[in-house]
Amino acid sequence: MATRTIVEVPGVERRRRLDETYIGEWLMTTDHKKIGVMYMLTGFAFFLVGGLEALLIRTQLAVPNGHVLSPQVYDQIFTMHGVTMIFLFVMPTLTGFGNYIVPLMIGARDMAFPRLNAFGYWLVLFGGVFLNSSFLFAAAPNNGWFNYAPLTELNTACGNAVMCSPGINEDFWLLGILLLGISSIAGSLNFVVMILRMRAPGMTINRMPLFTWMTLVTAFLLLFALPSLTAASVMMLLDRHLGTHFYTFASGGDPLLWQHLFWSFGHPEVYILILPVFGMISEILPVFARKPIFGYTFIAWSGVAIGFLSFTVWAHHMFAVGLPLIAQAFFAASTTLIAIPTAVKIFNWIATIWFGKVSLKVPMLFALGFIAMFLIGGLDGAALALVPFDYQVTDTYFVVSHLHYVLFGGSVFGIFAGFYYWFPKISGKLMNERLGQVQFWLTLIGVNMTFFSMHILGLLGMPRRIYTYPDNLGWNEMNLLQTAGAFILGIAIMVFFWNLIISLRSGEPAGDDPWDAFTLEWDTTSPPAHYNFLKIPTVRSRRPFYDKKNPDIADWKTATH
Amino acid sequence: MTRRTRISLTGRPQPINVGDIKRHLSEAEKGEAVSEEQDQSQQVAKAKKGRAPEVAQERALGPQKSFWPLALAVALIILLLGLVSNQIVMGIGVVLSVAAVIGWGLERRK
Repeated sequence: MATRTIVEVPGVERRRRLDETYIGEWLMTTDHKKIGVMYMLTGFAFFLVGGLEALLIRTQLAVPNGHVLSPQVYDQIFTMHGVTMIFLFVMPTLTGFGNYIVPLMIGARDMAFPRLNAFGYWLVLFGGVFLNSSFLFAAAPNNGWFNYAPLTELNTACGNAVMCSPGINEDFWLLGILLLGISSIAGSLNFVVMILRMRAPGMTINRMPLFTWMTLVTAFLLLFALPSLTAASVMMLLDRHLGTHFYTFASGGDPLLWQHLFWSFGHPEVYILILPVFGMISEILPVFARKPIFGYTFIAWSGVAIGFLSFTVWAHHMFAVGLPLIAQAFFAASTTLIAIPTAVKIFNWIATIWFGKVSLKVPMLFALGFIAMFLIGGLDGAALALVPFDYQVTDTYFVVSHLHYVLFGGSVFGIFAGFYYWFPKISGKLMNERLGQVQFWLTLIGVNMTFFSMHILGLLGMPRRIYTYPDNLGWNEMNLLQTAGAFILGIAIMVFFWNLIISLRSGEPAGDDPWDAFTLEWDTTSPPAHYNFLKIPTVRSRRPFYDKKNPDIADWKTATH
Repeated sequence: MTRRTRISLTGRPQPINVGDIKRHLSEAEKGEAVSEEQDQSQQVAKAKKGRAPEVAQERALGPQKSFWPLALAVALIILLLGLVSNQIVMGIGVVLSVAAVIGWGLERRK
């Protein structure tokens, strides 16, 4: 392979341009690393906003007959909590990891379309600001994060000649989501083209790091899932402002069309939020167990299987609407089926750490915590696939518990695992280990205190989104416990931000490879230079950096992949 | 947008692209000086004589910066805010969006 040699040329005197100022560099950057950092910072900023909203919800529900918020504001807060956490925290943060790490992992110098990449980031930032600016108009979205028709119609489709959602709350949701959708499409195109076309020499598909694999699957999911949400949103806008009746039953429309279109996006979305985390965990476990990943091929292709199957399960969110029996049977079966590739991953992760030299550093703690918490959420999901059981608990706190074990116990634990793992590469410094451990244990306790008893509350019949409740239903103690747990989670997050700040200011220097890792991103400086690699590395196995450090026992000498 | 003060960038040279570097290298190899940029070719030749190919021009291999992604995103937000609030604001958003798309399309890429 030809080596590009870069040499010095003498400087010239000229005016300083905007892009050479500090702020200008960030505003005009198309560098995937800077954009990745901006995605992550933006994601964590919105995590604070969404977390604050969660604390408001829990404060309202801490005691019976609570009136901390008005019912109208409560509706806005729980809606924006869901929207913020899903669309403005988890998705941007995972995109940030992908932006920063994947090009380094595959030996690329940048994303395939750097300007489109920057555009995607700015849309996320401004889309988030746009959605949250609705609070300034006292018109934040207020129909739940999945925004069901006909409640969201402008007309009187809800009955009693009352307009369903007359304000502009709903328009903020629809336009904001459209904007974020454009951003996701831009990001996905970039990932697909980069991963398929810009890998280092020798990095075949079967040698790609698993985080790259999962990012690729996620990008395809976004490309195929988002159009239905976009179509649904545009039709709702047409209903609201141009007099069409796509979702109005009295005029020949069908409110269930919204549910079908939304969930045919919404369920793949769940995997969009979790598949990259599967990839992160698959990178972290081998490094901290000092073993190659067990069952690489199974982990990679089970991710692909999950991607395909995720498009066949959407109507399990709709069992209670009265689907035909055959549809219920199909979606119950497909939902049960998707548990298989997920279980394949979990067994492979356990086999990876089995008899490994496990080092319980903070990234590993969060990775192990992820497996345990996600397992609970996954088992809940398998239970909800059973139609008779789903009938009993649909729209109760059981479902709230399930989704939080998946998204907090899963995605958020994974994000923290990834952040502690790659922070030294991004900043050149180590996060404080002791504070990290404090954060981990507080998070683990907080998650279980907050969300576990929601299972029981759901079985006792407490509906989700309820504003308040009377004091004679036996729900009081568990609600108080959940609120206490939520505040412990709040403290854990504060510990994280404190750790982040002091580590950035005075963290221990990390060196280029603090974890003795296996993949290419560690084979460059911390933080990496603008061009990532002076010389594009050649890959001969699934652990190229391990090979470089251990030439005598390199994988390519024994492995056949 | 530029600042009035002129500063020396001796320690931080201006970005150049890979094509230029290759051209310099091939000309240096042939022993031909680049007429207008004598100093540069001398330095290139020096690099070719065995000095490690250290990176002084890292930007040469990175993507070029651009103002237009930010401009287009801002324009779209103005357009959307106009959609939910005021038609004049929406009109401004449309004009800015079209301008940003044109600017993006016409931007010279090295």
